[in-house]
Amino acid sequence: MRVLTVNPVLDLELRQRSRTMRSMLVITLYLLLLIGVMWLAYQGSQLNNFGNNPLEALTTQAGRSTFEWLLVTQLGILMLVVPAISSGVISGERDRQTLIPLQVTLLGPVQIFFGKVFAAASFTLLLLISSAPLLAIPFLLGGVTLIDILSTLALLLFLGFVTSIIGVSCSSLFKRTQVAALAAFTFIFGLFIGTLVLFGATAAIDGVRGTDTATPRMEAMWANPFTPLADVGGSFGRSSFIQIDSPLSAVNRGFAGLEQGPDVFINSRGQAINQRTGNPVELKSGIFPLWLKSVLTLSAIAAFMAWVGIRKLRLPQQALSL
Amino acid sequence: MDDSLPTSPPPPPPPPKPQDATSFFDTPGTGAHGVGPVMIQDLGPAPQIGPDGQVSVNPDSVVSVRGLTKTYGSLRALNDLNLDVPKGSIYGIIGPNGAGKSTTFGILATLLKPTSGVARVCGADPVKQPRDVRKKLGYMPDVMGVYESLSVGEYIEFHAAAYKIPRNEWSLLVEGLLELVDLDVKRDAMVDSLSRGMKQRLSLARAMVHDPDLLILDEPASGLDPRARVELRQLLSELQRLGKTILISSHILAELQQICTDIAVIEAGRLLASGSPDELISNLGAGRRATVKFLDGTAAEYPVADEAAQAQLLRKLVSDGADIVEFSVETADFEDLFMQITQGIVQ
Repeated sequence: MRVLTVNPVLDLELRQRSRTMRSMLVITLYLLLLIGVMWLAYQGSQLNNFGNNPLEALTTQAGRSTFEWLLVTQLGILMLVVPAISSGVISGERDRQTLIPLQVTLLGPVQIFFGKVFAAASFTLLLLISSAPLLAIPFLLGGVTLIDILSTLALLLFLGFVTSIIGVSCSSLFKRTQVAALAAFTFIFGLFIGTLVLFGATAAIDGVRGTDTATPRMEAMWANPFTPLADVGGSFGRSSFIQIDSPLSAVNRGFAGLEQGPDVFINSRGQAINQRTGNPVELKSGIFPLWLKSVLTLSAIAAFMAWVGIRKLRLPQQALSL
Repeated sequence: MDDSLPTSPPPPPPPPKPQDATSFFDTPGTGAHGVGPVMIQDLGPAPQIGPDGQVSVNPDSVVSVRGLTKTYGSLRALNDLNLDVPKGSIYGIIGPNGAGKSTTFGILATLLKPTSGVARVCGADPVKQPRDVRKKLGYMPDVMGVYESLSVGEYIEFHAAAYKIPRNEWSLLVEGLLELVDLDVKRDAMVDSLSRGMKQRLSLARAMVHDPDLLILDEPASGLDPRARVELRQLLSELQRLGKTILISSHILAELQQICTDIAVIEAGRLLASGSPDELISNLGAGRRATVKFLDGTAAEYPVADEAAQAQLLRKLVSDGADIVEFSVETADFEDLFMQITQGIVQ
């Protein structure tokens, strides 16, 4: 009840959500899917071990691989579940004819908007907390530190928060819930695929310019939610670095190579190699890590979307979208 | 005896026909609360321009509107509307669909920005001081919305929190409000289990959660069964006794006639008439009509002001030797008034 006095909208959302079966169903399906992915990742890591590695290396590889596959799956699920939940919170109020009675109270548009956002983000937190016992398994297997787990969970929570803002803004902007959901998914899809297309386009432009190796611009990927996760969750550059073939570490190495400058790539052993000469080069460390640039870019996008969404809730308006 | 009465059956007066509103009432009266003429095309004192160039409003009115205009593209939803809602009144606004009732309420409730004109609600400007207006205004829109997964008590508590009422006051507040709207036994019931009438009363309790001076109720009786309507009417009278000013719109004209102390008729965004219900009807000219049928088969209609005039007419006719076979009196009601004043203009 304490939260009710802090933000009544947040309390209302949490109370209503806890009384529906849908939330329980989503959490159950989410955990079942993670268990399935974890089992497959573990089995896959066993199959890939052709050498005569000692048991310690074997379990460490399995732990790291399972951890990274879990993170990728969690990100994928969050990017589907959070927009689905958040894109209906304001348009749903319009549908139920409860938005206007809410707007004529002393709650301001900022309180209404962020009450909805925090409610959606709190569901992200619930999902992440519920998955913590599963993340403990790779931790026990090895190859994953407690810092790895906490930092990636914090990052996933941040990404859930950004996605909640995008979803709630779409819900504020569009009158109908279906349209709002479509807009939110299109936006999220754009962040994943659009940035990738832009990334490829920058490489193509660079190729046309006539340089030896077409090098894409990393800036294009700053807005991609996968980028900070790959940077924080991938094993490259960490004390727990391990040679594995999970998508997170592969992307992590690729991005790290691009961060080193043109014509440099990181091989599977974590060494920076000059593509032209084939010689190892010394790893450079930038002032700002990639994940920070990405987090700042996504924060700027979220801030803009929040401004747009709040503006739409501000009264009085020229016309009401009832 | 009034010598002006006819000694023989006069030709029946022409039945009233729809005409321009300004020609209906050429005798200005005074509203129940002395706030301007009963019928005027442009109600009340014309907007006064002060030395600072601002339009002055009536400071004694809970709601004062001057020259309010709202356009949506080429559609003029409100057209230079002037209104004064006296303190403690139940002020009904009637008009056909699209007349501008909900737009007026939307502006007063800080939802809509007027194109031009000024409005004051409890002394505050809904455009520039929306928060001040909301503190003093309880608004119930025409379509009620309730959170159905909450209990009745939780629903009120949520709105108490939204109006920043201290938490230690909630329990008494919920109890008092639910008792007022006769839902105290439903405190722990889920909102979705309530009937429509109960939901409407709960919605009214929600609008009163912060003890506002003014209640704006947009079609509160819409969709209610007769019993629920009677209960709502009683509740509104009770609220008036508690000192609330109520601005209400309804399509059920007979109900407004019963409960309202003042009425405004609007159409196409313009004010056509206003005043107390009795004044409006009596000034209609056809407020009370006596129909007399004579033995020779002819009939005549006489306007009569009241029962005394009606008795006087009958005495005169009998003393004049008229062979009366039937004498009946019809009182015009609000529906007659509404049909005569409005022209069914659809925007």
